[in-house]
Amino acid sequence: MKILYFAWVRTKTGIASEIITTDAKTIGELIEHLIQKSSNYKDAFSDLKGLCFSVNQTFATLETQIKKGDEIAFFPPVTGG
Amino acid sequence: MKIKIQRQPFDIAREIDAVRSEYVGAISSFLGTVRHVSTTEDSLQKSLKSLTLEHYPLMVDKYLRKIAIFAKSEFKLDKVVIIHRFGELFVKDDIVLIICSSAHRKASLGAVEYIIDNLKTDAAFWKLETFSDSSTEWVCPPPTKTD
Repeated sequence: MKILYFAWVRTKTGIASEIITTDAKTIGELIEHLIQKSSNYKDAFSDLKGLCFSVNQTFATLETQIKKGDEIAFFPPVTGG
Repeated sequence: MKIKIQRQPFDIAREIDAVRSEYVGAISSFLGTVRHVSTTEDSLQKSLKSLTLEHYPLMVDKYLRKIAIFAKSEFKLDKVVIIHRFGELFVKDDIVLIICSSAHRKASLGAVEYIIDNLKTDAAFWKLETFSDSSTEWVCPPPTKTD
């Protein structure tokens, strides 16, 4: 699945996007998988209350189910307009 | 319906002219511009050099189309225009333009408010302030829904 990072989340992880393979079935499980990659990821996901998630361009929660081929994004609360 | 996400400036008068019609008696609009947003004690002491808007293209396009389609139907609009810029902008630059046209004013005024309120809470844009001392700060959403 494709993972996208935006704003300070991208700054902390050090990358804008990546393709990963995982057995994770939910956003929460995916985060558990990602924070194992490095301390940068652990830092990026250290405060989940300050983060938003999306699956295939739709807002999601930690419980949202994910599957192979999905596009998942992690980003701070939005500030458009 | 016109939805544009672009770097370049837009021409407000031209966009308003484009929605004129013999069936339209009201054209309402909202224009968002760049201001010093951050309210931390540290940032307030500094001069804002620029505001950089980052966005998630697919998600923004999908969402703006969704709210435009809803607004057009719900408020019985003739036309809807949403133009949002991204990239590096400077103080007093235009950021976003929303135009709604309808037969009567209540519909177009209500639709503009609906669109900007929802854009500000759910459209995937993020603002990075760069100050004159080259420091940067990501803008946090305000505590209240109106801004």
